[in-house]
This record gives sequence, structure tokens and C-alpha cells, in this order.
Amino acid sequence: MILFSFIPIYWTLATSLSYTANLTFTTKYWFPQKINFNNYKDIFSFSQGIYSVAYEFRVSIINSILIALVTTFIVLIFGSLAAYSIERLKVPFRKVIRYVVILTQMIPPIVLVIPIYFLFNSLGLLDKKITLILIYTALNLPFSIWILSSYFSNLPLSIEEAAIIDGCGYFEVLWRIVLPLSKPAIFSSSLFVFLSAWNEFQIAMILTTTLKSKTLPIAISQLMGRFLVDYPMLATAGIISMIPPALFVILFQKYLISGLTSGAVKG
Amino acid sequence: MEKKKKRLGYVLITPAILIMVFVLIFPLVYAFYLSFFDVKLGRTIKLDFVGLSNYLDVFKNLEWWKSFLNTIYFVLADVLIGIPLGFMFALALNKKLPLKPLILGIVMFPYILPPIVHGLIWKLIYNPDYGFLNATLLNLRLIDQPIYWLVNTKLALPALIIANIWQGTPYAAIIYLGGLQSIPTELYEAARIDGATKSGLLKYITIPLLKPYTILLFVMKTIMTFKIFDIVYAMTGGGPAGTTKVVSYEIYHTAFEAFKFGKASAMSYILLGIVAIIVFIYQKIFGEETSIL
Repeated sequence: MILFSFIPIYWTLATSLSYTANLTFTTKYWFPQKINFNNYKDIFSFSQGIYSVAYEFRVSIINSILIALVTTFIVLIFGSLAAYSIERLKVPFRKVIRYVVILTQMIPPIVLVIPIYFLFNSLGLLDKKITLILIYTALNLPFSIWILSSYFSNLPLSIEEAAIIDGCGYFEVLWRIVLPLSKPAIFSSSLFVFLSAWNEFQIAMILTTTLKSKTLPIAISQLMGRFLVDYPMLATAGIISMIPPALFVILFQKYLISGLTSGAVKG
Repeated sequence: MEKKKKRLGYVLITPAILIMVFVLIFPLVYAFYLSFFDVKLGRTIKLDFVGLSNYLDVFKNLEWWKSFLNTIYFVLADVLIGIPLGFMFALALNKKLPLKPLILGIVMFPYILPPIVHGLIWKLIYNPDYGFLNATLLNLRLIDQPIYWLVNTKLALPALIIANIWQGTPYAAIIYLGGLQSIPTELYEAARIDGATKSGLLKYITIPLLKPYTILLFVMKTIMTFKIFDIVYAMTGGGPAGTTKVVSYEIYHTAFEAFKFGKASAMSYILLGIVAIIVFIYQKIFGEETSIL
């Protein structure tokens, strides 16, 4: 079981650490002859010119991080406001949100891409980071609202009521009482939002064309499509794109598992 | 007071609703509209109303049904192999293990990888010259010539299906693990005292009690695998000779390579309809227990 999961990852790592000329050796002995970090150095240092593949990866990594972070931030703000208004301010949208969650899970992204392409084309918003942020926000909001509102509904009402009697506004209650008590749910949904923005490929592929907004998955897929493929470089980019998921799985496993199960099983 | 509360509530929920309407709901409606037109994309968009002919074209299109059949293969494999495999993983993970978080991390890792990287990883595995699979088979002297896995019309689809199971199985494992941990251990103890065997425990306690989780996985995995696109795009581009084409890829090709946006929109709605019908059938079969609805 562990081998089944791990060998493909190991193989990518071994390829990324090999010299291109030595790949035959790596293949034969399942291990690189000489370990070589050059590809990693090229991507993270400024030694390579702006027309190099390393430069392209570096910029797209920065784009990916920016887009994923901003998306997470916006989703959390709007998501917790919406969840609070459903849970505590009696806005009757609970059912609607549930349907939108199912809708976003059911719809293949390609179905959305065509109209979205037309829409953003006519607004002159293609190939912009903000466009991807907006789309990822919309795709992640329903799920996050759902997770947050189910969590809010289990918090004890009495503290909030007492605070309101003491003259707190609803904003203050949300900010000082509800949100601090909901840290686990907020944390777990932010991990998922970040990952989904970091991983997304189909929409970014259609809506981005240049390094202004290209994300890491796009840069990887474009290098894969070239006629002569630099496998170690490609594998290096692959390994780098695994860093956030790997960190999450090591550091925040509990939250990932709880998000996976609570997102699917009722809620 | 109550009124004021509600008004504030609507104000707070507005940004979220606006974004969702703008990026999810409006585009869906717009795609439905486009599906009745012949769309020409130039400096401006030109629309010619064609009624239902896009839909009729798709129904008569052999390529579409071929890609549909391929998608069904992916779904079937993911459901019929991926779910039992995930169940076995969960059983193995539900014991006291040394370094359990690490093992659990490794097992769930494939599920949270970027799908394009998932494609990349398996392209490296299947690479004829530098791939792990050929290297291993050659080293073990099981073959004496490298096999071109992804170029062979008979091997490409099974190769992709295996890659897809690799990524889908951890999800089933995690869901089942959650299910296993929810079963009270007293049940097992009581049954053991009554003389139940290991396989008896599995058959009469574990599997029946996990039924809601199994149903959930059936529904979720069908929905998720119907969307398959990235690994096909990354590994074969639908080739060789269209043998690995899937519906999402066919829609992508029709829209962004053949520039038939109206027809592609019609395909999208046919796909949505099919998925909705399948979910509906599941609901009829499994009844109330389809917890996602």
C-alpha cells in the first residue's frame, strides 16, 4: 500500500535529481548516479535569464502563491460573513447554499470555462491574476460557507446572546467570539481553498496566456508539451508543486482529514 | 430588532452571493443560451440561432459517444476497483501502526496533488526510455524491449485508468477510515464472545455498518470521475487515435480547438443532464441514504 502510493512520487524525485545525460543510469539502477540540485538552484536563484525555463517556473510559482493566498483570504472573509448571516441573522439561504455546493461538485469545470471565457473576454479580463482569483473564490465559496455555517451552528448561543445584551454589535460578536471559537473550521477550510487554487488547471489553461498570470500547473503542462522534453527540469517543477500539499499533509493532517470527511458526509 | 438583524444579514451575505451569481450561475445560464446558437468568434461575437441542431449533431456524433464510453470505463474502474481498494487500505490503516501519521500522509498524498502533476508523474512512470515501469520490467527480465505504453492503442486506456485509480483511492480510504472509527468496539467484542470469526465480523458488522459510506463513495466517485480531464490532457491528449478521449476533453477540443462554441455548450448540457440522471438513479436505488442530496 505504501509502495503503491509512494513509488510514483519517488520516481519523480529521482528524475529531478538526475543529470539529463545520466537518466539511463537512473532508470537502470532506480537511483541517480550523481545527485544534482542544479534544477532547484536554477529555479530559486536569479542566475538564469528571463528567457529560460527556470525563469518561467519561478514567475509562475510566484503567481500561483499569490493567487492561492489572495483567494483563500477573500473566501474566508466573504465566507464567514455569509455563514454568520445564515446561521445567526436568519437569512434563509441554507438550502440554496447546499444546492450550490452540490452544483459546484457536479459540474465539470470545462462546462463553466466556455461561458466564463466569453464573459471575461468581453470585459477585457483575460490573462489577469484577478480573474483567476475571482473564479477560484466563486468555486470555493459555497463549500466554505457550508463548512463554516455547520460549525457556527454547533457553537453555544448563550455567550453570543450575553454579549449582545451587554451592547456588542453583531460584527463585534462575529469578530471577537464566533471566529476565535471557530479556528479549526476556518483553518481546515482555508487549507482546502488554498490547495484547490494551487492545483487548479483547466480554467487557468484557458484564461491565461502569458507570464503575467500563468500558474505553475500551466507552466508545467506547457513544458510537457514541448518536442524535446527536459525531464529532470520538468520533474523538479513537479516536485516543487508538491511542496504545499506535502507540508499540509505533514503539519496539518488532522484538519485535512476532518475537512475531507465533513465536506462529504452530510455536514 | 428582528427586522434590523435580518437586514444586516442580507448585507453581509451579498458579496458572496454576487460573486457566485456572476461566476457560477450567470455563466451556466449563458452556456445554455449559447447551446442554441451557431457562435462565431471574431472581433465581435456573432450568433446565429440554430434551434436544437447543436444537440442533434452531438447525439449523432460518433466521437462524442466514443469519448462517453471511455469516460464510463474510467468511472467503472474507479468505482469497482478504487472503492474496494480504498476499503482494504482503510482496514490496514485502522490498526495500531508505528509512524501512523507518516503512513497516513503518504497514503493520502496522491489525492491532494495538482492533477496536472499527477499526469506528469505517471508520464514519467510510463516513459518508454526513462520510465519506472519499463525499467523494472527490463531489470526483472520480464520483457526485452521497452513497451510504448501511452502510444499503443490497446495499452493507453488501461494505463490511464490505473493512474486515475492511484489518485482516487486515497479518498475512499480516508472516508472509510472515518467510518471504521465510528463503529463502537463493543460491537466487535460482543460478537467475538459469541464466537464470531474474523470474516464473520467483517461480513456482519463492518460492511453493513459502512453502507452509508459506501453509498456516499459511489455517488461522489461517479461525479468526480465524470469530470476527468487533466491526466488525459497531460498524458495522451486523447490519443493514440482517440482511444483515451473523455467527454471533458471532447468538449474542450470542440470549443477551443475547433471553435464550435455552440456545439460545445450543447455537449456541456448533455453531459450535465447525464450526470444528473445518474445521480437521480443512485438516489432511487439507495433512497434516503444518499446523504449529499
